[in-house]
Amino acid sequence: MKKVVFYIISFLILCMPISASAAVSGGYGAVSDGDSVVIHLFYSEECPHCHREREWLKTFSAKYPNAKIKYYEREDYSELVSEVRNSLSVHNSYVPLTVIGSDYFIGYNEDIQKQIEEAFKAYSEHENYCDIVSLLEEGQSTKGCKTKNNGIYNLSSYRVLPIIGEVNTREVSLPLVAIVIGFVDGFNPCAMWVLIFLITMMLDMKNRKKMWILGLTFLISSAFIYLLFMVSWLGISGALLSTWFRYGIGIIAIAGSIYNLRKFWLSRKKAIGCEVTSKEKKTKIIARIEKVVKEKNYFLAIIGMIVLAFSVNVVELACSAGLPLLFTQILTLNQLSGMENIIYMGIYIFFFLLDDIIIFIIAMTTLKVTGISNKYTKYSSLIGGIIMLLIGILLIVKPSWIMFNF
Amino acid sequence: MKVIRIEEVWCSSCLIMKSRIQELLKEKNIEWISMNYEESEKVRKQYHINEDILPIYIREDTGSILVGETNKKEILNFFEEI
Repeated sequence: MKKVVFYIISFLILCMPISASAAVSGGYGAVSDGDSVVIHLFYSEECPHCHREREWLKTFSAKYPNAKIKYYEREDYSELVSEVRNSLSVHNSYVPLTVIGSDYFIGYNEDIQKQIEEAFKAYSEHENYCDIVSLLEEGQSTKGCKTKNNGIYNLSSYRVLPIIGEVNTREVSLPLVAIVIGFVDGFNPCAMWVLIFLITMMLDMKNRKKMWILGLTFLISSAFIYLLFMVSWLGISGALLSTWFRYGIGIIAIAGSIYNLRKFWLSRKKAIGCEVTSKEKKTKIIARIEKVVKEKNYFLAIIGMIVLAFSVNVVELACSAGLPLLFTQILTLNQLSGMENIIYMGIYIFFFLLDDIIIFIIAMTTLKVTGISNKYTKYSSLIGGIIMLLIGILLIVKPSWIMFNF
Repeated sequence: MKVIRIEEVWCSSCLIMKSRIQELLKEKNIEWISMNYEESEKVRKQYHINEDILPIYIREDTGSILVGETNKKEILNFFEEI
């Protein structure tokens, strides 16, 4: 129990944004415009968020006399927009795009308003910094400027480590989050029993080639359905980039965490073992597995296995929908490119399936089926519950703490 | 010595306990009576077992019961005198 608490605290420390000032060496050219801080807004006439931001920036410049706002209509400044996006490694063409120094913000809502204001204040305290947009407008090089959204606003996330050198902890955090949440999600018992029964049936077959083919088909199909779910959810939450939607997900996460923590609490004094639940459903699935494994035609057996994996993993998603849902919400907040999203989801799914992969490989090489202790499943409810509670609260109260890419 | 073992083929805890017991009691002479959860309904009623956790081991001679995944010490205590 103490070890579990230690690992949870270590995870929390590693994932928290670091707010202390960092010692980052140089790299900023003296390009700032004296006392004023320029906020560059790229917008489109058809974009309602852009209009709202423009209205807000009017009041902003009245509040801060040293704020200088420059507006660029996307169509009229298409070349500059492209250069700015390349320079800052912005992988999408969304507007409004707000740039201050080397920091950028995509979209507009209350959270982004606060971030723009904080970034503006941070830049106001620095005399020399790279104003990427101004440099590009003047035809100057941005080499030597730190880009990819790691300007002064995000300065505090850098740490200089021995041997390794400069590390952006925000960039380190997202893969770590994918690994930890994926790994915890993997201890969900809902589909594990299927794999164990499948392997037991296949070992009885004594046909190693068929074992490998069917086993790998099951694992790959499981990975695919999970990916499909996460991509769909990413699309939905990306389209609904609203504060209320985020609050809704946060509330669902907190509800999910209460369920998991309650499950752990009730299981404390119970024996560790396999719960005999959903006997009828299990009987149906067992019958289907037997049918697939005994199918002599390889092609039909593979199709049968794919269909089986899909239906089993839909149930698995219902069991653990909280964690993959939360993870895709974190990806949405970080506004990554399509490829980056796929990579992080891939990392999540790999660690989610890791226990299944280990059991499968051990079974195939030793011809013995082994299992993962249900003790780990018990603690995964605790850890999963804590993760969901933390992320749920952050989504509502402090979403910037899980925006690792800003 | 007869021991009733209530288990399911899909249960990972049953697999873990099987291998632990095999390792600890290699030379013991035990007659295993295996049954799945459904088949064991009468047995569970007979021994007043309300647990729905597997595996379940029942010693016919003493009536003692071992439920779920347990450590080596508990396994040895359960099987002592065999």
